[in-house]
Amino acid sequence: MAAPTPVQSQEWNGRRGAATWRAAWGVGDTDITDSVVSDVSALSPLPGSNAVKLLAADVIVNGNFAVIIEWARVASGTVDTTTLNTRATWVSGDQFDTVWATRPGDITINGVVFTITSVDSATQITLASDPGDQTGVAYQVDEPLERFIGQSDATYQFHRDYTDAPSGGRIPAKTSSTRTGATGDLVLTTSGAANLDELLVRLTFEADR
Amino acid sequence: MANTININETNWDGRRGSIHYAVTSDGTAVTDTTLVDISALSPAPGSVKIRSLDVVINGDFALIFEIDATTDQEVERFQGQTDVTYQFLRDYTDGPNVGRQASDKAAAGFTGDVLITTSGLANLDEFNLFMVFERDS
Repeated sequence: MAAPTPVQSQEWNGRRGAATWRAAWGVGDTDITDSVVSDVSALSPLPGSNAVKLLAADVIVNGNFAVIIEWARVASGTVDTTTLNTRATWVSGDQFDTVWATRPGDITINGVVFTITSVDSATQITLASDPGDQTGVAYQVDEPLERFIGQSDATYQFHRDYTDAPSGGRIPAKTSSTRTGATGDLVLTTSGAANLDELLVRLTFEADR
Repeated sequence: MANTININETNWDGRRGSIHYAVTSDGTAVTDTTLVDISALSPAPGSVKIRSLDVVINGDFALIFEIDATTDQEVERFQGQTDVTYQFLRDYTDGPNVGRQASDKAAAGFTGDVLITTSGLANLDEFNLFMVFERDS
């Protein structure tokens, strides 16, 4: 079993760009985790601060699953996890940021996505589900940007325009200029996708600086 | 028991702001949760007007937007449906005052904060809102 391979393309004129991404699930296909929809480092010329701002998201969901769009990797390192109290303890790399308590999102530990319930300290977080007992495994945290959920036996098109907001779009809170490791890439994760589900995404973005 | 807040991000440039807030519920009702805390904005406005609301509701519940006062002032209400997801888009910028204002800024206990309340929220229901607002006074 594996995740489906998305078909995708990216356009960029040096100032404005668009990324198109689509996938269809077959028998036994699994969810997609952190698939890169827009690879900022592949843009030429690179936008300032290696960051883009999102102008609009157009997402078509066919199936009862959630689509989570994030800015990639604002923190990474290794952690120990424990079944007791569903906790993860920092071992190395970036320490946990208390801002995650007010800007909560997901954490990927050893390839599995968990919801962060609370940031207890710079070295301890509590998860919504049991991560098991693991030692020195890799973790990565992305910055949540958007989330849409579909429904069985229906197709939905979600369109969100961010251009009337401050800055004329959505920008990542942490870019490579302010946080080591942040890539500025736009990545996509699904939760609950199954056979015959389909997903089509088009993101329009612009150089942030 | 607590709802999972998937996204909670506020931006404010001194004149215009946005709030992006997304929740997956465990059935816990949302009651007068502060969406925009006027006093936390810097520089703080006296009140804000809503320019637009983009709300996605998944579940049979109502999502109510109010301005905080001793008697809260309802400004908008959206109602979802079982087994259906709806996206509601409401643009107030073509109306008088180029936005949706509080009905009585001189009311007793008026703080200008924007609050949300749900009615009928159930386990696994979700909502995802993106609101753009602007300094009103």
